[in-house]
Amino acid sequence: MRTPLAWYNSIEQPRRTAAAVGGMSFALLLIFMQAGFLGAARTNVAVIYLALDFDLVIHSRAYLTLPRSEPFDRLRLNQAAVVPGVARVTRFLTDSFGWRNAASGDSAGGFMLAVPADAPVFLDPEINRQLAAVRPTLTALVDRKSRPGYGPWRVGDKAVLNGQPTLIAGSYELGMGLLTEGSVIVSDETYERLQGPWHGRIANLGLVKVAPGADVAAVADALRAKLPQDVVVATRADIIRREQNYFINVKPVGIMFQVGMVVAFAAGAAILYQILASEMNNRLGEFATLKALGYPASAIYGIGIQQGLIYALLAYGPALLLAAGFYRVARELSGFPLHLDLGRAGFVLGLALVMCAIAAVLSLWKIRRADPASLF
Amino acid sequence: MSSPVPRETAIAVADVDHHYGAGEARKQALFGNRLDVRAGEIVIMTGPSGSGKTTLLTLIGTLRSVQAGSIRLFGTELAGLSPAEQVRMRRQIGFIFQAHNLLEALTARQNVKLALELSDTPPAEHDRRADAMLEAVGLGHRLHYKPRHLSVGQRQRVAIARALVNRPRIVLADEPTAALDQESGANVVALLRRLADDQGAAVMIVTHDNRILGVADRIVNMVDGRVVSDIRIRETMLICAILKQCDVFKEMSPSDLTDVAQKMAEERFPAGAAIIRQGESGEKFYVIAAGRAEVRRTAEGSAPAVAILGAGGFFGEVALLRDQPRNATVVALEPVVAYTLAKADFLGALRTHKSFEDQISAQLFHRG
Ligand SMILES: Nc1ncnc2c1ncn2[C@@H]1O[C@H](COP(=O)(O)OP(=O)(O)O)[C@@H](O)[C@H]1O
Ligand SMILES: [Mg+2]
Repeated sequence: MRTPLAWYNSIEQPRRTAAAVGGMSFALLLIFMQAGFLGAARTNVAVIYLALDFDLVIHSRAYLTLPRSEPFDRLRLNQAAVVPGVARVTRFLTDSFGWRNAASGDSAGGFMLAVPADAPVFLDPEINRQLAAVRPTLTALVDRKSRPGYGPWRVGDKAVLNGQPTLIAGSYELGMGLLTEGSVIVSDETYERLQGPWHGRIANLGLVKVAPGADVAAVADALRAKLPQDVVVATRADIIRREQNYFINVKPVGIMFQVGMVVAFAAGAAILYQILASEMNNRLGEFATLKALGYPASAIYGIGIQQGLIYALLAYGPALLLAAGFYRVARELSGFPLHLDLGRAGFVLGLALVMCAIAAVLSLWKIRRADPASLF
Repeated sequence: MSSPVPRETAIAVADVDHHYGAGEARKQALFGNRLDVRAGEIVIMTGPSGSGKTTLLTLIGTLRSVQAGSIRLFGTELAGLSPAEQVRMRRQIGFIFQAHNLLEALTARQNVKLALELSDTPPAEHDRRADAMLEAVGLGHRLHYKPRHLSVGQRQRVAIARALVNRPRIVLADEPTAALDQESGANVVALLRRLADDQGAAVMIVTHDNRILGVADRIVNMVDGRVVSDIRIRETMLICAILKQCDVFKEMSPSDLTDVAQKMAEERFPAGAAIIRQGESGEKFYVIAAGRAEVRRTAEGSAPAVAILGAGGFFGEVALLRDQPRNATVVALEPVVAYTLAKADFLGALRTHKSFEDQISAQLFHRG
């Protein structure tokens, strides 16, 4: 059949088509949002690791997730430093803290990250460059992507961290997204002042950089052989995956997004099926006529499938545009890393096509009932 | 020997039974039907509701599978065709339904093209062919109208254009004029007549519309699943008109003439064929409907032409009346269409009609 009948049928029934396209668009938009949040959460939960430059990480055996990382004896870092193939071991400390804006009085929470002031362990050269500025005690770098709850501040102002006035010596861009409201970076000495002196004996993480040319896995094995059982050695990829797995598959938030996606998918398929089936039903006489003209059943099934495809593709366009808009709004309001990349656009397009296939297959049995003998 | 050339049989229905339902609900709708339709013929089927007309039409149209008996369309047997073969077969048939069954989303032209797209017509020709067909049904000014913007009659004409655009050799129509006014109905029927005459299509029309009986070659009446009568109307009228030209039949009443005509059969002879030969025994009476023939009588070794016969001319009666061998040879000079009456029917007609007998006697006297 050269005539694009499915297309003509779609424009001939603008209301039905609009209902199908509207319903599908909404379902696809929901999927976009859920997938966006899920993807952003994946990035978000590992945001601190993603900002750090390391090959292997040493953490406590009781480690659950970075914001709740059990500390371990910093002596382990010294033991690790002498293992062959290890180029550098950096002590990393982190805990939550209380922020109060000295000028405006705004207060909020956040994560305090601490490294020795002479250890350039961040991937962002802007941060590494500014580490020198936090060498004096009670100075800090502040995340420009901290929430508005931090109040207005500028480099050179004073902020009250855990009750102690601290100089804002610089700023950087990281963004904690859903994890917490903001972050500051301080030296390990300042950290001990602000969080309590006993922190001097511990570390939350040991960030290991292997020597150029050394085999990461071999160094990891050597570290495991050397270090006592109270710590664990993990690769960069392992710790990021573990962090994401904890959030996506263990915490209810991640599961919620996944369930939301499944529900939106099912709803989209159901809407498409409903409308496609009623379209097929209303056109049974026309399909019977096509059979009488001599069109084979396959050509007529083809019309049903094309009709589903048209609905799905027409719905995809607006959903994509709306999602891009909503992503942008959400990104600007929450600093949450929602991005519309090609992979996600393709993923949702794939889901739309699967929806269309399911709905088409379910509604095609109706076409079988189109009987040309009933026309006379 | 004569060599008649009958027109091709388009539809041959033989011993066709049909049952609906199964088990307790099984019900026979057709009983041992026979029907032959020749190319170029329009057959009108009538009969009370439920008599099986539609069932027979759907069987012929390969919209249902033949259960028992045989249906051949131009020699192709329909019984036992696979579904794919049935689909291919349908492409050779033009269907006209009572409801127009156009596709609502398509314009008149697009509806007609839908049928063209199943043919071998090159795609570049589709628009032109569709437009020409719509022009032919008087809708040249409605090419881009969708069905809902057309009148009932116009829709039916689009449907007819769609059915006829591939020049099908078989057209099946169920109540095609039921939804039409007098004038549109007459137009539709005229169109079908032209298709039958010009392209030799076999047309079957189920109808109760007696306004259109006039176009039919035959009227087939069905009752309770059986063909109960098969009247060759158009041919009978044609024969009557020819018989009226013959001196011998001039005086006959129309009803007697019709009786004679219905008993006559058409036979065709190519130029040069001997229709009867001197010395053979006579079994038939001949009336020439078209073409010329020469009468030759052999005497002392030579066979001079004694007469030339044209349309309305008749011969063969002498041998029948006197129960003698043929006294002359008649040879077709051109292709000849003749109607023949068997000896028994000829003598029967003679007996019931006195003046006919007188005429013949006079003729016999004349011809010696
Ligand atoms: N699809 C069907 N299922 C069962 N019985 C049918 C069906 N179609 C027709 N019949 C029966 O077959 C008989 C002949 O019907 P039909 O061919 O439609 O007659 P007509 O067209 O002359 O009115 C009727 O008794 C009718 O009830
Ligand atoms: Mg009927």
